[in-house]
Amino acid sequence: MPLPSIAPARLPLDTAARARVLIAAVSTGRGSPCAGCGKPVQAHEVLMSIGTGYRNAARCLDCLARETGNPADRLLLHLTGWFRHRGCYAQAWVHATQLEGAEPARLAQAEAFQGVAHALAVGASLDPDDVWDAGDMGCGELVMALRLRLKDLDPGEILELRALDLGAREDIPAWCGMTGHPLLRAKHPVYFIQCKET
Amino acid sequence: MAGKFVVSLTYAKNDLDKATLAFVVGNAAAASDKEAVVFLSSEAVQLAVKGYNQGLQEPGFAPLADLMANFAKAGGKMYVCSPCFKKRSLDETALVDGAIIVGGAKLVEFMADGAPSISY
Repeated sequence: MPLPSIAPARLPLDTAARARVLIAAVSTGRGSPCAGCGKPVQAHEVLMSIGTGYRNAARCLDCLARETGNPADRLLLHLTGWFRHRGCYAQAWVHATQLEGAEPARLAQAEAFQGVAHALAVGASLDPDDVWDAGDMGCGELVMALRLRLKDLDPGEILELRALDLGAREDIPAWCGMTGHPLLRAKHPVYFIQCKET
Repeated sequence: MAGKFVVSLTYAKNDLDKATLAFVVGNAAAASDKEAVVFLSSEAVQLAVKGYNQGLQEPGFAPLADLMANFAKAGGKMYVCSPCFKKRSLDETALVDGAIIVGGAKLVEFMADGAPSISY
């Protein structure tokens, strides 16, 4: 049985009227089964579905990401950035937040990653969550201890590492590249490493 | 795997035959357009220091200094084991061309997706 459309194929031209249509779609679409995986769709996800053109049936963020070929957090950031600059979608986003009681938890984490990337781009100083002086430790011993140290951090948290070993200049970037923990800044002997998303 | 080649060497003056063979094979790889690395560990790290290879020549082969210089000129890299280098109190400011000091992770990165290798 086909799922009901969550929004009309064409939205009204008038901003206020478009906002009313989107708000109604968010209200009625909230809790409907995701067209991809069947789990209940949240209010924000209804709006994201409409924003990405999936008006025939709402999808959760992960299914939207998969179907559009984008990482979920990147899609989330892109859509929320777009919504905030369009009055009708911005009003519907506020309504969705009221229904859910908060913005999507993943948005804060995604913005934290984006904030760090921006800070690096403008040369801002980093504020590490952990500082570790590895001294002369090097080679396999260093990267094993580093792995264990990062396991104690939460995704997004930043470790400031001081590693005097001469091989660290090559090893730390290599290890970060292989394991996926972003190397935010490297100026031997100091390295800023971010704990990757799980 | 395609395009990479690793030669692992653990000898220097203490076995000039093996030290020479390693760079002969390394040259063969580099000359064959492979991305070639000679990994120097244990006593072989001595070879990475300028001046050490001067006058060294195994009978029947080119001088080791020439083999190493040609290897570097052809784009070959010498990965020098950091702990082995440090325990011998060698001078990191006096490395031969093409040599960089690394730890295990750098070598793993190079070999992780598959690289033929030979050890001396």
